[in-house]
Amino acid sequence: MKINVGVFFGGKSVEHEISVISAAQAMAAIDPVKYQVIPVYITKDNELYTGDALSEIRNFASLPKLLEQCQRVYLLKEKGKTLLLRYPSKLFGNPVLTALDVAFPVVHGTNVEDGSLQGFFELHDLPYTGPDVCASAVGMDKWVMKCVLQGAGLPVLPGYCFQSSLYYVRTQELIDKLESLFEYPMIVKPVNLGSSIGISKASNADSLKDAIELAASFSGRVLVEPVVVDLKEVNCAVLGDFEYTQTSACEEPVNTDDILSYRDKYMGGAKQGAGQGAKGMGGAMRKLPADIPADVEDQIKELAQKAFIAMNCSGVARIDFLLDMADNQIYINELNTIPGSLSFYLWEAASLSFRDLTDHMIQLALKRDRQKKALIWSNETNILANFNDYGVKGAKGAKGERF
Amino acid sequence: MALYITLLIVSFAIYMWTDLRKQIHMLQLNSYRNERYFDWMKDQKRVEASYLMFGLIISNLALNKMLTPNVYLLMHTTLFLVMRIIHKKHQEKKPLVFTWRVRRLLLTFTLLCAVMLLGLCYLFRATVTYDITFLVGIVNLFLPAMILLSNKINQPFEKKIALDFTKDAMERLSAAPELKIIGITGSYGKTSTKYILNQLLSVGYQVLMTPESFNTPMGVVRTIREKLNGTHQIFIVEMGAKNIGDIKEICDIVSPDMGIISSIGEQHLETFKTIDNVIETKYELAEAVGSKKGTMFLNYNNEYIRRQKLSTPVVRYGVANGTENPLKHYDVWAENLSSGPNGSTFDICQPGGKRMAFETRLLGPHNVQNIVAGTAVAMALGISLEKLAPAVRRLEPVPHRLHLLKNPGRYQIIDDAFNANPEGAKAAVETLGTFKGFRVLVTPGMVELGEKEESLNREFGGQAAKYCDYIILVGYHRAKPIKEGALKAGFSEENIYIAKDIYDALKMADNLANGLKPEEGPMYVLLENDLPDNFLEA
Repeated sequence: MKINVGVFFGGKSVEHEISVISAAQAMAAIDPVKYQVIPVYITKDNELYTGDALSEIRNFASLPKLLEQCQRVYLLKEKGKTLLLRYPSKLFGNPVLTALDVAFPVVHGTNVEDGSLQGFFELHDLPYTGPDVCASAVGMDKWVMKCVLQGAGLPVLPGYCFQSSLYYVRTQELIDKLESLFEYPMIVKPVNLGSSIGISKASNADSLKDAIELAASFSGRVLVEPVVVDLKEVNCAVLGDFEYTQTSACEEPVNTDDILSYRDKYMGGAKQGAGQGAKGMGGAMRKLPADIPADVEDQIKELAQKAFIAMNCSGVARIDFLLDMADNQIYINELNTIPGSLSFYLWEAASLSFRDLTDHMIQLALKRDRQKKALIWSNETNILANFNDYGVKGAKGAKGERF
Repeated sequence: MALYITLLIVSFAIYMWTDLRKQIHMLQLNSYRNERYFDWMKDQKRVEASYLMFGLIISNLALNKMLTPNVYLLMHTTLFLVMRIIHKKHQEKKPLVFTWRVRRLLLTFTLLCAVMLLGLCYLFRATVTYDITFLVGIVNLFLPAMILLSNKINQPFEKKIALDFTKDAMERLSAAPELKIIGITGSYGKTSTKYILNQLLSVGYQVLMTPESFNTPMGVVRTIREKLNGTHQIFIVEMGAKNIGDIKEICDIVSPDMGIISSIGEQHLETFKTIDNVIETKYELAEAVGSKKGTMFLNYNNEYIRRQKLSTPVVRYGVANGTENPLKHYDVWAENLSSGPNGSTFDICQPGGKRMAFETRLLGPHNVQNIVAGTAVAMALGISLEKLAPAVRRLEPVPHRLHLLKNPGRYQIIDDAFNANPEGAKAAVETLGTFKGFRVLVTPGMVELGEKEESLNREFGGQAAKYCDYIILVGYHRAKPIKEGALKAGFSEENIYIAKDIYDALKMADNLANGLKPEEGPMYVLLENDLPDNFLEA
């Protein structure tokens, strides 16, 4: 009997297309002997579809054609099982397509990676891989994440977060405040997006205003941080949960611009051109393993694990570090709770195959579900349920009781 | 006229449905076994006999034109309503479930009724208004018998359905060859052991267990068909039995890889007749497991189990009592047991001086035995004792089994309401004795003990006398020997109260709590043995 794994991807996110790629890679990697993979695609209108055609990236070239070949579905919890049902239902026959044993979300960005999808699964009692609702939400908000990591005593860059509307109302006051806090250059980010979208650097007041306006067009809150000038970026992935973690190899992503851009990450940078897009994060240019001394690597791996646990992550997360080469300081830039391509290339470099990686993630999901179930248990005798006049309800009592 | 006929039909329907529902409910509670239903039924009075008499009188009057047709109809309507009121609202602890089987039964019953009515009409050449009510009265009088007959008629269909479901379940099991199947049986303690084992094994595995009271072949089949999925690595099957061959029947379906026998004792003696039959049946599990060269986990605290010798691998577990050398009798055992109102603490030991301390919220030495069983199996499946300790700590008491209820009112309740057996009942009152305060026992006595029932209840009375301060007995008949036993042991009669039913008993407990002086308290009430629905006493 195979385990039915629903791989959920897509969503109303700016990283929708990235997630299609990551999901296709994951679906190809999941062990077909142990698991039955069921692709579930979330359109940008939040409709769910399933169908075999969804596992091939090339079918996504024309979305309308693809959806014609698929079946629209919805999730339903019934008699202890989580079911995928056809919508609209046929006149005769069973609307149930299949039962799902575990969900495998491969989603990136707001509206999906931020706990929304996780909450959806929780409400259907469907175990799922990756971070839970809280870790997802925290991981999606750069400012809250910074506060959590700082609170856990982990090294992060200082930052200033404000409402976009504040910029428009009190522009000069804000610029003055920022200039008083940080030196130029500064980096400006929308607080809750991924894949470097909306992020830009500012080297003076004018470019700072431009940067804020860009970020503000994507998000209601903006985060400004000082820039590490003499910078080396190092990423490391962690697999596990609250009681067990293991780290991957470290990589050094390579920029073609000032910062690691969307183009760098997914389109292989200016040098590699077309055809690289289909590789997702796997196709980005990188130095793997990272060009850092062994003790720095150890420090990074340790910090990565601590960050993972501080955020209560689960499954695979990728932690991005900023190394200030001027004073040899290591800062945690951010944590990606569902990293692009699930960072499989980092794990393969550490001798963990993509197949085993997905297997671990699914087992972790089932383990978390077991632990969640172990916490719930309450039952009272039927006799006492009928017996409500005689003070058995304790302090809440019945009418007329005196204590 | 049409109005009166309508009224008549409505009142008849209301009355008939109440009676019909009750009969079907009783049949369902008796597992659709005609013999058991008959045993209950023969003691019931049928008011329908009186209806027939009145009905005949009224019909006679009407025939002699002493009543108008409308008045005649009205009088019958009244009779039906009166009978509805007489059939008291029936307190159900386990309500009627409208399964497909019940629906099939109703269909057969309706057809049978129609046939019978038509037959009677033809036989007596009845005219419509006057005599049909009389014939309906006859049908009603024999309603229970008709239910029985309907059940009998449906039996071959039900058997075929059950067979198909069983085949399907077995196919699903063979599609999961990696699944480890653990059978649990015993005269008592199997449900507790099952819950504990489930919690402990869940530390490292995806576990499925048969739910509460699904310990029959059809219950197991249903669990497999409705709950088993690809994620499960272990399947715990609780196996209940009332006759020889019951356990083998379940083992033939699931083919267990490992087994636990939690105890052998004098339970269900009404159907087993002798203790040797009990032993033979429980060991059907050992036979099934042995045929797969699997390991049996046996409770060596139990005398009967100690006396059996097996040639297949065995792990002996239990609680060391301090007088014998544990190494001679156990492979895994518990020592240093101490218990109180917050739970128990003990050490789990293995040969070679291995020992680890455990804490749990469960009460009573029997629960500790069950925990040792669980840890033994968990260790055999590769989970370390260290990983098990937090799980043992988190164990929640099983509902209705020495369950210390957390939200006390005037008194704290220890709910041990499920089918008490002599050993369990003794352990329960002993555990009650460890509490400091005013200790009250509430019990209707033990059932299904065959011919030893009276003497065992008397013995129970004697034990209760040692550990309780007040005894409330529910229902006079079964409680009588308990009272005798208690008095014989020197218990004072003024501290015994015989209640009509459970609600009356709890009312008395509340009175006691109200009258309690602060230095006498706190008050603990042990609810021992449930009231099976079909044995409520007047």
